[in-house]
Order: sequence, then structure tokens, then C-alpha cells
Amino acid sequence: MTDHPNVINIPRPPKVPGFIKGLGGWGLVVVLLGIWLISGAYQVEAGEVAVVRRFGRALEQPIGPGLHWHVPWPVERVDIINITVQRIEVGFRTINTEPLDYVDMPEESLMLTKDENIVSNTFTVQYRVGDPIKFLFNIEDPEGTIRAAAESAMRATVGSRTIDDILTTGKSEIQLETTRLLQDLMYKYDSGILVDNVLLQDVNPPDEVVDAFKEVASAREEKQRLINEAQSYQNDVIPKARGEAQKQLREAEAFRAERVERAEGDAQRFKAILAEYRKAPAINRTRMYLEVMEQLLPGMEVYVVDAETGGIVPYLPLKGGSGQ
Amino acid sequence: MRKLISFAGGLILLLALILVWNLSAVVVHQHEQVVITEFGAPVRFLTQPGLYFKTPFIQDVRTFEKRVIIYDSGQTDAITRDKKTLVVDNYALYRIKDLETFISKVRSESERRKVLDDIIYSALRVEVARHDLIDVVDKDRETLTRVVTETANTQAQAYGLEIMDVRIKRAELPTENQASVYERMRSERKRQATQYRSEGEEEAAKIRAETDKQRSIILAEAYNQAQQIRGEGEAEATRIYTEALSQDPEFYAFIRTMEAYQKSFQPGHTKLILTPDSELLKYLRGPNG
Repeated sequence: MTDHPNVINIPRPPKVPGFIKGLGGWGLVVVLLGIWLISGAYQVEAGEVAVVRRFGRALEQPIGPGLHWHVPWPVERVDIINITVQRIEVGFRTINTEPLDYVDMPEESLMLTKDENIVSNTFTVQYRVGDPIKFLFNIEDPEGTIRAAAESAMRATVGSRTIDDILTTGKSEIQLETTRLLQDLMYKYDSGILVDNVLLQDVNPPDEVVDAFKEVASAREEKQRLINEAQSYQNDVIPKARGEAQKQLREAEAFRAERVERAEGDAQRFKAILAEYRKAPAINRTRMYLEVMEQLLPGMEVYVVDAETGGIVPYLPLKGGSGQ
Repeated sequence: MRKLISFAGGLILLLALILVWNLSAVVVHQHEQVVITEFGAPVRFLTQPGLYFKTPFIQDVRTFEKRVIIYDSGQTDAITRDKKTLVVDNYALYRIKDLETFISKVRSESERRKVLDDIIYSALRVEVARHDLIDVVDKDRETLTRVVTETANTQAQAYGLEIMDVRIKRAELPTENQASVYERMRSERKRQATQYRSEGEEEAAKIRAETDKQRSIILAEAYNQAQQIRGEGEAEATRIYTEALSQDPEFYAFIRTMEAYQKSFQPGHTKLILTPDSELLKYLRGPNG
């Protein structure tokens, strides 16, 4: 428009985008409809399932992972639940994972045993949703129910055993029995929950009596130690005695051999001398005698005494080569 | 302008639809049961999930839980047959079975709790009093649970409730008694410890005594045998000597005595006394003796 002096310019109203203007009220309806339709989209992650209700009634088939769409409100609505393994703690609560720290809950952990003793027992239960529809629509508080049932099952199991059994040999049996009892209850209640495991954490005598129990264990070790000591005494003494016995026998045998050998030697020598001697007995005897006396006399003081006169008689001391 | 009116009209229509829906549509969910009341009085019971309709304004909706509810009542004391006190903590699973009866008998949440408490506790107390304490803990646990559940359930029917399970969660001794139990446990363990120790000592003493006895036997037998062997040696030696020397005993006496003289007479320490006619002096008298 050219600026004419007689034409007054009136400011224009702002421009409305063409397409909305063209659509008008119906345009808004379409937009609202679009929003409504989009609200029906939902995503199911791995480890989850979705249960759809149509006008309140659950559809039979749960929906697996992926991107899905349901008819939006008020027709259908969706519950998405986790079907991976869940864990509950009984008798303690973990308050920190790094570093691992937990707090005891004695009201949950102290239990009566069959022989009217008290034991401290902490455990965990691992479970998961087996039937999502039952899980959602049969029991109002499934987690609370399984917790209560778990405590009940464990106490029934503990209550049927003596404290010594519980503290020593019975641990895996207790886990199995409690798992079975708990699963039976979950079936009985039609809860849709599957119990994977009941795991015992710490099973101990209560703090107040722990020392007395430890004393039994160390007394048992003491008994073993005393027995071991006595046995090593045995292992020491007996072989030594046997060794000594052997030594005595060997010595005796050596003595015997020596005695016989020496006798043999002496006998042989005698026989040899005798044989030679017998060739000329008188001569040999005289010779032998004189040889010995010859050897002995030099070292002797010889006195000649006359037997007839008796007493001290004039004598000739004949001294040997000792030079007096 | 017309476009504006149609736009506004569309919006109003939408809102009106929503309003009508809210006032008259009743969606009963799978976990719910519903009673439709007219001026407060119940007229219709809807227990199956689905879409229903009611008259707006005049009729009202009250929704109730259809699922099984867990009722965890607190602790209570119960006395056993052998006059011991047990602190029992139980839970109950129940549901509203007959909605019509229920709403006529139970007006509020607190009233519901009271009804449950009364039914459950009385059944529990009666049953616990029929058993000894150790049986409650162990042998009769299942029976007790079953009977209490049945009793409680029968009574609950009158209120439109169904009790499906009453189960003991915890059955403990009162704290005062716990101390005496601990004391008993301690002395029991002490007795065990003493027993282990004395068993150990006894066993050890036995082993040692047995060992000493064995050693004596071994040594005595060895001595015995050794003496025999030595004896054999002596005997054999004697036999050899006898056999050899008896060939000429006199000769043996001679040379043996000579040897003895050689060995025993010390030079310088022996005095020999001879008579003049001794053989040794024979040739001193003359060349021919």
C-alpha cells in the first residue's frame, strides 16, 4: 500500500498462523485427541511385566518387555511390576553397602528352640513374582505377607530342633525346611510368589551366653589336646623302650658270640700246645716250668728256709737282677 | 466468530462428557468390591470387576478391598497349660467374604480391628492354654494353628469375614524369664565344658598308664631273653672248654697255673720261700743234683 495523504493507517490485529485458524475448534479437538492417544504408550523394561486392566478387569496375559500401547483412561490402565529376584532381611537390616554395615534386630532374631533355649538367627529370603496377576490381585500386601510368613516358617523350623543341632550340623536342613514351609504357605495363600531361597546369615547363641558356649568349644579342644599329648608320650616312650630292648638283646648276643669265640680260641690253643707237648711230655714240662720261673725270679726276693730246723734259720737271700 | 463458538462448544462438550462419566460410571477393579448406596442404604453389590453405571447424585459408591488382607496384631500374653507365660506375636490373613453382612455389622476401620482382635486373641488364648509350652513351640504348633484358624473363622463368618490363616509369627518368653533361661543355658554349658575336660584328663591318664605298663613289659621281656642268650653263651663256652681241656686236665692245670703265676706275681713285691731241697735249687747243689 502506498502512503496516500488521505488514507489513515489503522494498526492491524496480530497475524494468527494460518493452519490453526483454518482448523478452528476442531483443531483443538484433534490436538487433545492426540495427547489422549499418546498417554496410552508405555514401556516395559527387561525384568518387568505389565498387567492391563480393561474397565477394572485384568487381561489374562501379562505383557513382556518392549514399547506398548493400551487404550487410555478410562478404558484401560497398566500396572508394571518387577519380576526379578527380591530380597528381604530378617533379624537385621543393612544400613550401608559401602562399607558393609548392618544393624541387629533382636526382636526378630531371637528364637526359642525345642529344648527351651534361645538362639539368635538372622536370615534372608529371596523370592520373585511367579504369577503377576495373582501377585497384584490376590493379596493386598504381598511383601508384608511373605515377611510375616517367613518369620513364622523359620520359627517353626527352629522350634523343632535343639540348640546344639541348630548351631552345628543342622544349618542346611534348616534352610531347606524353611524354604519348603514358606513356599507351601505362599501356595496356600495363592500369592503368586515363588520362593527361591532362604539363606541363614548368622546363627549364634545370644550375646548373653556366647562366652559360655565358647568355653564349651575350647573345653572340647582342651580334651583333644590332653589326649594328643598322652598319645605323643606313648609314641615317644614305646619306640624308645623297644630300642632299649633291642640293644640289650644285641649286647647279649655279642656277649654270647664273644664268649664262644674266646672259648674256641682258648680250646684250639690248648689243643695245639697239648699235641706238641705230648710228643715229649717230660722235656716240655720242665722247659715250660723253667721258662716261667726264669721270668719271675728276677723280680722276687727268694728266701731259703730249712724246714727241719724251723724258725728263722740262717739263709741266703738270693736276689734277682734287681741289683741289691 | 463462528469458529470461536464452535471451538468453545467443542470444549464444553468434552468437559460435559467427562463430568457425566465421573458421575455415573463405576469401574470396579479386580482387587475391589463395591457397594452402591442410595441415600446411605445399600442397594447393589458389585463383586466382579467391570464397568457399571449408577444414578448420579442420588447413588453413591463405597469401595472395599477384595483381596486377602494381612492383619499383624501386636503381641499378646498367653498362658500355657503348664502355667508358663508366652509372649505371642501372630498374624492373620482374612478377607471380606460377604460384603452385605460386613457393612451391616462393621461400621469403621477401628471397629473392624477390634472385631478381629477379639476373635483371634480369644481363640489363641484358649488354644495355648490347652498345651504345654514346649509343645506350643514344637510338636503341636501346626495343630494349634489349624484349630485357632478354624475357631476364629467360624466366629468371623457372623461379620461377613473369612479368616484363612492365623499363624504364630513369634512365640517368646517374657523378658523377665529370658534372664533365667540365659542363666540355665550358661550353667548347662559350664557343665558340658567341665565334662569335656575331665573326659580328656581321664583318657590321657589311661593312655599314659597303658604306655608305662607296655614299656615295663617290653624291657622285662628283653632282659629275660638277654639273660637266656648270655646263658647260652656261657654254656657253650663251658662245653668247648670241657671238651678241649678234659683231654688232659692235669696238663691244663699246669700251664694254666704257670700263666697265673706270670700274671699275678709283681716284680719287686713278691717274696718266695724255698726249702733247700726245692727242685729249683737242684743243680745249685752240683751238676747232677
